Amino acid sequence: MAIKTFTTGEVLTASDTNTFLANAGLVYVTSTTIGSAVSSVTVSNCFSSTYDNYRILVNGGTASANNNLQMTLNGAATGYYGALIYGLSTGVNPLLAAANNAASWPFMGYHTTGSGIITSIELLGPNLAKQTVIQSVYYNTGGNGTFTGTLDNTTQHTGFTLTPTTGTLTGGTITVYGYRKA
Amino acid sequence: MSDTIIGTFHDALTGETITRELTAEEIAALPEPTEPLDSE
Repeated sequence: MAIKTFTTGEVLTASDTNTFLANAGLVYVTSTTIGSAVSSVTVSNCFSSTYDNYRILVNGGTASANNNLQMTLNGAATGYYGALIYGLSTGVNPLLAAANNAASWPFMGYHTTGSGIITSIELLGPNLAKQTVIQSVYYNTGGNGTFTGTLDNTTQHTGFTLTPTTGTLTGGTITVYGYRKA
Repeated sequence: MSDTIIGTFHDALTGETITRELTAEEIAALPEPTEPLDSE
């Protein structure tokens, strides 16, 4: 529906409310809190035919070490490709780190003992029978960039796992949203 | 004796979240650590 502007004192009807809810662009799918001192976090049954594309936000908590956050989709032990292009806050030329038929997408964000676990992941088509495309913000103690990649299979994935490269994670929230298709 | 490796598991269908010890198969499926980047 077109954007509707309500005026002071006007009655907000159930019909209007339901229409706005049904036309939301980004729809909440699920959310969970990371446990204490865990080496991985798995979210299952969050991808389905209801949505083609998803956004995953991770925020809060803390980590026992500073390092990269890795991601895998269920049913895929290999076939992860991508490149991280990042620059240092000190202004050094852009740098590159790559994944070539790897066992994970290795640069999905960062986990630190100070700032916790923060990332925003855009996942395109994980439940479709074709390649999945991913884009994620990346930062570390000195660099900032974007990771873009693919998962080269036709598996219809239904969930994912986040893994700290070293150490463990404690707390923080993972929230999954789907992009409404129509 | 090795340290216990635990993980959090959330099922979006049921809404249930549990934290438990990983099985040997789950541990084997964990990705290898990556090399530190230049800026670290």
